[in-house]
This record gives sequence, structure tokens and C-alpha cells, in this order.
Amino acid sequence: MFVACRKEVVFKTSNSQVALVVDAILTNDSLFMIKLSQTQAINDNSLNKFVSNATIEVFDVDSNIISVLSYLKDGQYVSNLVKAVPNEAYIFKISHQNNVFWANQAMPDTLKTKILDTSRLLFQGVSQFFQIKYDLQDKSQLKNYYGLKIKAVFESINNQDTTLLTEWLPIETNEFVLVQDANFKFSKTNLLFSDQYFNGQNTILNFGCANLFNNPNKKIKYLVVYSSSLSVAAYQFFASMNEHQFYQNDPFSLPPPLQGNVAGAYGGVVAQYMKADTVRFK
Amino acid sequence: MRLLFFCLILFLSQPFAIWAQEEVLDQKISVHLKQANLEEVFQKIESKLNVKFSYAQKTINTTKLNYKFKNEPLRVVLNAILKPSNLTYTLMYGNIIVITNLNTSTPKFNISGYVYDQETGEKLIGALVYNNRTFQSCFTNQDGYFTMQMPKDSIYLNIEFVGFEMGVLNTYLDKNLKVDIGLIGNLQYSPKRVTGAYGTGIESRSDGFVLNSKTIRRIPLLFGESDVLKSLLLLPGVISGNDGTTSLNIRGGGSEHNLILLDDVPVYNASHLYGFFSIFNADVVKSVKLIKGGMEARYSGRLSSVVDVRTIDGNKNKFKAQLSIGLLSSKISLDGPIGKSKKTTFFVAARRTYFDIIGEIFNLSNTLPVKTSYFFYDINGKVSHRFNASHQLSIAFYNGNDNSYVNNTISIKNPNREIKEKDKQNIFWGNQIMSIRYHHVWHPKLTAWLNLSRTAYNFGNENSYQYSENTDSFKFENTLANSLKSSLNDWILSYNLEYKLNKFWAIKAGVGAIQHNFSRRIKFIDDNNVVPKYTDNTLERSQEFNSYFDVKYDFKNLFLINAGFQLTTYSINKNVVSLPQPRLSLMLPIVKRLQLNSNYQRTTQFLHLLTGYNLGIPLDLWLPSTQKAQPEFSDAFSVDLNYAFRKFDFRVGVFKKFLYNVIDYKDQSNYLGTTSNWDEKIEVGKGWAKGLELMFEKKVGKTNGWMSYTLSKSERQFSGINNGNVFPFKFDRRHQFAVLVNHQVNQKFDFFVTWTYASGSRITLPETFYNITDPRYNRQQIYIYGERNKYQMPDNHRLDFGVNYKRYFKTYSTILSVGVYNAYNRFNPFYVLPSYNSKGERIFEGISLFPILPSVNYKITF
Repeated sequence: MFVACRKEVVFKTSNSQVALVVDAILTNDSLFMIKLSQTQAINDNSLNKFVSNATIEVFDVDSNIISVLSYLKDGQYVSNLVKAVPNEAYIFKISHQNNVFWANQAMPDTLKTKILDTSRLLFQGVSQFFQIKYDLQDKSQLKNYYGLKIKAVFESINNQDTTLLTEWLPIETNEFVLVQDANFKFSKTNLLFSDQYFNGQNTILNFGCANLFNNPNKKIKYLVVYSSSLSVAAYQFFASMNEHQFYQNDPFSLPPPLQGNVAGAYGGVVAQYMKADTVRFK
Repeated sequence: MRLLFFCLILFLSQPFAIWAQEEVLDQKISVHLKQANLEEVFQKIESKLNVKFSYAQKTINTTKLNYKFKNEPLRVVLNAILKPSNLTYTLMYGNIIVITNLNTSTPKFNISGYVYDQETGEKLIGALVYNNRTFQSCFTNQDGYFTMQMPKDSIYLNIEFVGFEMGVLNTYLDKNLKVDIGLIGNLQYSPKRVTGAYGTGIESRSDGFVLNSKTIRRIPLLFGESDVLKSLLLLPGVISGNDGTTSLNIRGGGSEHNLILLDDVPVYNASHLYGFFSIFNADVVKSVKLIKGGMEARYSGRLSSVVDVRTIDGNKNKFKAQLSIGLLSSKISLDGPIGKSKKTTFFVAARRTYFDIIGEIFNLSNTLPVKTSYFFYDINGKVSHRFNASHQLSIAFYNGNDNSYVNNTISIKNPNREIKEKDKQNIFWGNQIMSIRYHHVWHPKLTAWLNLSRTAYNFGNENSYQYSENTDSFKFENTLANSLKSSLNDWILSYNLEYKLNKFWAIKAGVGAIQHNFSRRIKFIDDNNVVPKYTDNTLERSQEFNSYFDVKYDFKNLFLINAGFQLTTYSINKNVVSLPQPRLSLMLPIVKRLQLNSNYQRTTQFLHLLTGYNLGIPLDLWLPSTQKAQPEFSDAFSVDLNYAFRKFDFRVGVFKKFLYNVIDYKDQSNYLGTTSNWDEKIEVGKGWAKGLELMFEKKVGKTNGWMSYTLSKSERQFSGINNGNVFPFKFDRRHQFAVLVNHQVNQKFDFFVTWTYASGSRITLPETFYNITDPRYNRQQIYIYGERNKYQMPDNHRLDFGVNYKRYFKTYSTILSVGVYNAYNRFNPFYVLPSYNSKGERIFEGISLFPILPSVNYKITF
């Protein structure tokens, strides 16, 4: 109804003090990897400001040093052999420019999932909707948090060339336990939910994706369903990230800051147990 | 006994010179009086000088006079000849000498009655009734009624109302008198109209402004639609919200701090179309009064201002119909008498947009199963019955709704299988108002009115999904539905009295009660019970009881003081709080035509508006005060000088306001979408504002108009927002300027031009950013925002103009209005977001909704 006109508007923004950004998602059976960078002024169009001169030490709960991470490149620090173990807790000490930053994180328990069935049906006006029937086992009576994502791998055919494309797909569902989470409205490609409606039990979830089969130049090869058991810090961190991204395009709202767990720095060190289930297409 | 007086039409542009009072009375005269009575003396003076005497026969006696005056000033002669008879004189209308009694022990009588529009019979609210001799004055009240007490003597009343030619009533008051005074409009569209003066149709008062309906209808704005609330944005002290919206921010208050009344009934969401149009149909609005400072004690419930909208009663003399066709909506209104007695009148008016009809036409040609659309409508009406001069009853209603929907229907049928699917999403919101008003004159000095009304604001969001599948061996059906409906429903009862004790004292008093019902209903249904059914019905009630009085003392035109007090008791869930609201106003004529007004008011607001968008959209939530979010209150002071000289009016004023317990979202919170635990997501703080307001007006003439300028500053402070530091209010626009010029070319053509300028509103912007990995291992950019409202949007200015072409026929008349909004296509951004330019560099991008927009409107009146 209204024709919107767009134009650049120049503001003289102030430059705040530069701060450290800690970026780490610890995943089961993976080496510890932490990325360090710095904040930039909004009108700074230079490349990422990575930090290469920090020291990162990893301790166990008894304050025994487990590993000192080595600098790789582009702000990445990685452990040599030590991997994150489910149900273990770790303490991280980051030293940079006479400042010390601390972070604690406990790895979540393991997760059991299984794809029970798949089908193609008509859903919310979309034909050829690909639905997955999914079994998820909630481990204990404690409150648990989960993440759900679907990645598709397509074969893209362009004249004689065939390339593989990967794409994170928005998840469509009417599933109560997914829809009722307050985070559902913020992101469809990174669903977050808790076990409040199925605590300690198995639950069958029906969800899926649209538009997998309607492009003749894009042939779906396989889907990977990633489900994660998240630490409390990870759930809060990813939820705040989803909310922040959601409100970034809302002109009348202020995107909230991320709920990190590194005092004095931005970002966070969060942990997840991730499981992948694959669906292949002929 | 009631007398009907016809008005004398007084031409304001007189062909003869107007002499200063001093010059007339300083004229020298030589006269020899020998056994002459007063009447003979007056005739002699009239024959020698260019003066006229006006008096009642009953006033002068037959005493014989013997005097000899040689070259004496007229004032000396008059003092000498009148004193023996205990008479005095007043010079009026330039050279008319009015003779009246001097005796202060003269008995007093009341003159009271109604002032109305001669053509339609509509009562005129706020008409000035002014005694030229004693300078005693009063305004007609909301029922068009006035009463004045005067000594037994000749009286010379002027009756003035914007948009009408002045009426004059001269009579001898020797008993209580009831009168009906009809005024002739000077902006009437009639081929037989008498030439009169044109005017702006706006009246400056000590507490604000009054605009009459003709003024509002002559200023079509966005899309050629006249709008009551947006017309007020041209006045000083009224700061605009987002570009094109009806948001009024008055003297530092937010849009939620304005008490918007429709015939004395509060309206909770006074806008359609996400804030771009008000709910008031300008064709049936009689007047709009804006009170910015010096609120009478009977007004309560909001901090900043009162916007008092009055609708017409209906033409008493003849049936009238109007049809108006515009680019976005059409309107129809009917009004007239019921029966031949002319005691009962009615009006009904309806308006509807046609976005959905246009959308339907588009949808029919579209193969997609998805249909989306939006429309709004409103309908309001009133029936008024006058039993007699002392008893009047009116019943009024309003019903308006906005509806935005998406419908998606799929049907697939083949020999073995049939699938049907229906998906509906619907958002709707609206107001419903019903009121009964009984006006009763107990006594010429005592008038009262009783109001019983209901006002409701509803918002709903409904989604439903139906799926059915039939095969030869299988049948499946499922319905999923959820709905959220919230409403605020008020029942209001009040009784108000106005008592005019004498020419010095007047008292107003009243009592009232309001029951607020906040209801929220959530329903979730799944036919197959895969998901549990879920319902939530929440009903919360709060009550307000108020009593008030206002005492006005008018000391011989040397000063006028108005002191008022309202006590409001608010209760919710067994918690009770009583808050006093004192009011004080002083009007002081300094010299002739120069008046000083000063006001103080304490106001209280028991309802909070949670708004994340400030657009008047349905996502704004009205919520009751709680332990955490206590009632808001405000103290406001203002002083202004008003100078009226001939056709011009100049006004300068200053104000200072303090606001307490105002609310805002915490830094990490955004629009909730639910009322659950809302008071945990807000902060309570304070605000203040100060400013200077100027207005210069040419009130009458073929070319008329005004300029207004406001210089103001408005700030807020919350302990949990912006680290507890003071920050600018979102609509802290330092400068705001408006100029409006009307010109009547001839009886057929008139045009208007407006130019408005406002400093940019305040905005919070990101100052730094960082990159972080999300769970999909993509790099996401995260913004870190600076201080709240630290930055200022670009200044907003635009030029609008329009032309009206009128044609008159035997039984009907037409008006074709053509206009342009934003004539030089100024880019006024509605909002700003971080974005990227074509080189991939980070920039801020502004989005403007209203480029240059032509408009056309055609109206037929029968």
C-alpha cells in the first residue's frame, strides 16, 4: 500500500572502547577451539580484528591444567589432543593485554535420537512438504535444553556443471513442544526448546521442510538433522542470538545484547552434545 | 417567558473610520440647556456631534435640566447631565453612547439560554457571550448553554464563535430571561449567502485551542483525508510522532498521556491503519478542543492533555445527506430532524476503506491460493431529543474496526484421493462506544448532566488450520486453532453540576465512577488431541471513584482565578490508593487586549500503555497500575501572554512539566505479545519537559491563517535503562514550526497551503559490532547499541497544498478537492536501520513511506 523510498542517512557515531570477543561452541568429541577477536566501530569496514597474542588455558574442576590452546590462524586457538567429554566441566582462562577473562562450562549429557519415518504430504498449503517423524529421548528428570537444525545438500545443475550446495532449511511444524517455546518466533533454522512438556520421557516430534523438490535445477541429495543437547549457557546464548537477529530488522525495537558467560568480554564459551541423523534421497 | 431574538449581523470590516474612544469623548461641544429632559439633551448632542445615544426608556427619567456648556469636552457634559439621575455611560461600537443605571443596589436577574447555528440548529460549544458595558463574559458549556447574572438595566451582549458572524443582543433586563440565540456561519456554502468575514476557525483559549469542524475539513492531509488529530499538529506545543501518524506528544508527554474523548467518553485507541488515520469522521465532528494546561478539575485519567471531540446533534431544520469519495475510502453521513416538532434530531455516519476490494480484484487475477488484505470501517451516530428548554437526552454510539487477514485455501481432487486445506490468519482491533447523556437545567443558575457510558477496546489474533484427506480406505480430519483476544472494557457513570452563583462566582462539581475490565482469552485446540487443549481466561478488574470541584472567581475584569480539586480513589485486587489532583489558573488582563494566563495542574493516570512502536497499532497494550508499576502522575506549570489586536492574535507561552512513574521497556526487552508478567519487563522512572510556544494568527479576512513555533526539550530517566543516565525522550524535537495559509478566491474556489518543519526525533543506533559463530557455523554480526535516543533523525519538513472547487445547485452542492501531500518530495525517513551500500560498506538506511502524493476527493451534499 505504501511505496517505500530508501536512502542513506549519515550519522556521526561515537567510537566506544574496543573490547574482547570470545567465540566458542564446545562440541562432544571435538578439540577445544576458541576464536578471539575485537569489537569494531559501526562504520569500520575493515576486515575482522582477530586477536593473535592471547593465552588460553583449560582447567578441570579441580584446577588442574588440561591444555594450553595453540594459535592456529584468524583468531583461532585450538587444543592439541584434548577433546570435550560429555558430563565433564571445564574452566577457561584467557589472558590478553594484561587482562584476564574467565569462563566456566559443563558439557551436556549424551543424546539419543532416531528418525522413525519420513513422508511427503500437503502441509499449510504447500505440496510435497517433506515431513520427518523423529524420536527424541529425554535423559533425566532435570531440566534439559535442545536445539534442532536441518541442513540440506543439493546438487545444483548449471549447463554442464554440477556443484554441491548446502543450505540450512527453515523447519515448519505444528508440534506443540516446539511451537510453544518462546524462541520459536525468532528463528526457524535454529529451533530451541526445553523438555518442559516431556520431562524424562521419549517424545515423537513431527517436523519438516518445504520446497525441497520444486526446483528442477536443484536436486536434493540428502538432509542432515542435527539435534543438540545444550548447556543452560548455550541455550541462553543461542536464544539471545536468535532474538537479536530477529529484531535487527525491526525498526522499532532494540535487539537485546547476547547473554554471554565471559565477564568483561562479549560472546561466550558454550557447550553442546550434537547428534546428526541423515536422510538420503535417490 | 422565553424570547427569541434574531441576530444583527455586524460587519467586521466597516467602511467608516473607527475613532479611538478618547477622541470621541474629547470632542468639544457648546450647548445651552433650559428645562430640557434627558431625551431632548441627547437629541441636541446628536445633532451637533457624530454620536448616537442608546438607552431604554425605562432607564431615563423626565427630570428637567438647566445647563450651559461652552466648548466643553463631551465627557464633561455627559458626567454633568447624567449624575443627577444616577446614570452612567459607556462608549461602544465606536460612537454609540450607551446609558445605564449607576445604582449598585439594583436588583439582579439572570439571562440564560442556548447559542446555536442558525442554519442547522446545532448547539455551539464554547461560544463567547460578552456584555459590552460591564465586560462580563462567559462561554457556552458543552450543551451550548450559558447563564449570566446582571443588574436590572439595558444589556448589550455580543455573541462570538469562530466560523460565525458576531451576534448582538440588546434588551432591557427587568426579569429572569431565557433566550435562544442563533448565529450565522461565515463559511457557509450557499449561493445566497450574505458576504461576511472569513476566518481561520480556530480560537485561542487560556487552556488551549478550539477548532471548529469547518476548519478541520478545510485541511485535508494524507491521501486527501481530513483528520481531526493531525490538524492539531499545526498548533504550538503539539509535537508530531512518526511521519504521517496521528501520534500527539504534548509538552513532553507521550501519546498515551492524552485523554481523547468522544462526546465525553474516553477512547483507548484513536487510530486506524496502524496509526495513520484517526477514528474520527471529520464530517460529523462539531468541534475539537485541545487543553494543554489549565485543565479543569473534572478532567482526569491522563497526564498531558485533553482532546475533547464533540459530534453534531443533527440538523434541526432539514434532512441532509453527504457522500464523499476519496482515493482510499468513502464516507456517507445522514442527519436531520425526526418528526415535525423539531425536538428530535439524529445523525449517522459511516466510512470504509477499499484496500480489500482492490486486493480482491488483484487476487482474482492471481493464481496463488493465498489471499491477503486489510480494511477498516467505522460507523457512529446519535439521537438527541429536547423535551423542553430544561431537559435534553442524547444517545450516541461508535463502532469501528480494523481487520488484517491472510486466507489460504487448497483443494486437490483426483480419482482416489481428495485433500482440502484451509489456513486462516486474522488480526483485528477496534473500539466500541455507547453513551447516554441527560442534560437538565435545574434553575437558570444551575445546570447538570448525567453520563452513563461504555467504552471498549478489543484486539484479537486468530489462526486456524483445517486439514482433511479422503481416500477409498482412509479418512482423516484435523483442526488446529488458536486465538488470543484481549480487551479493555470500561463502564463509566458521572454526574456533573455547574452553578453560576453571581457575576463573580461560579462553581462546578461532580462525582463519577469507572469500572475497568481487562480481559485476556487464549484458546488452543487440536481435534486429534496430539496437543493438549489449552485455554486461559484472565479477567482483571480495577475501579476508579472520583469527585471534584472547581471554583471560579471573576473580580470585575481585573483578574479571574479558577481553583479546582479532584480526588480519585483507585482500587485493584484489594489494594486501594487515593490521589489528589489540585488545579489552579489565573487570568489577568494587563492592559487592553493583553492578557496573562498562568496555570498549574496535577494530573494522575491509573492505566499504563505498553508501546514498543508508538504507532497506535494494536500491539500496544493498556494495562492497570500494579504494585511495581504505580499510578503515573505529573505536575505542570505554564504561563502565556495573549495579545489580540484587530484581525490579529499573538500568543507566547512557556511551560514546565514533571512526570513521575512513567514506564518503558527495559534495555533487553522488546514487545511482549502477551500481558504475562509484563511489569517484570519494564522499568519505572521519571521525566521532565520545558519549552516556549509562539503563535501568530490572522484570524479573519479572505486570506487568513497562522504560524506556530515550539522550542522544547523533553527527557527521561530510569534506573534500569541507559545505566540510569538521563536520556532524551523519543519525540524530543527541539524545534517545530508550522504555517497554514487559507485563501478564499471567490465563492467557488479556495485553496490552502501548509508548511511544517520539525527537528528529527531521537533514535538509538548501534555504535559498535562484533562477529560471532552461530549454531549453524555461520558468522553473525551482533550490534552493540549506544546510549538510548542519543542520535537525532534528519529534520522533517514538507509542503502540502490543496484546492477546493465548490458548485451549488438547486437541491445539492458539490466540492471537488484536489491536493498534493509533500509537494517537493522531501525524503522524511519513517525509520532507520543498519544496512549495506552497493559496495558492501556498512551504512544506515532510512525508509520513507510518503513521497509526493496527489489526492482527489469528491463530496456531494444534499
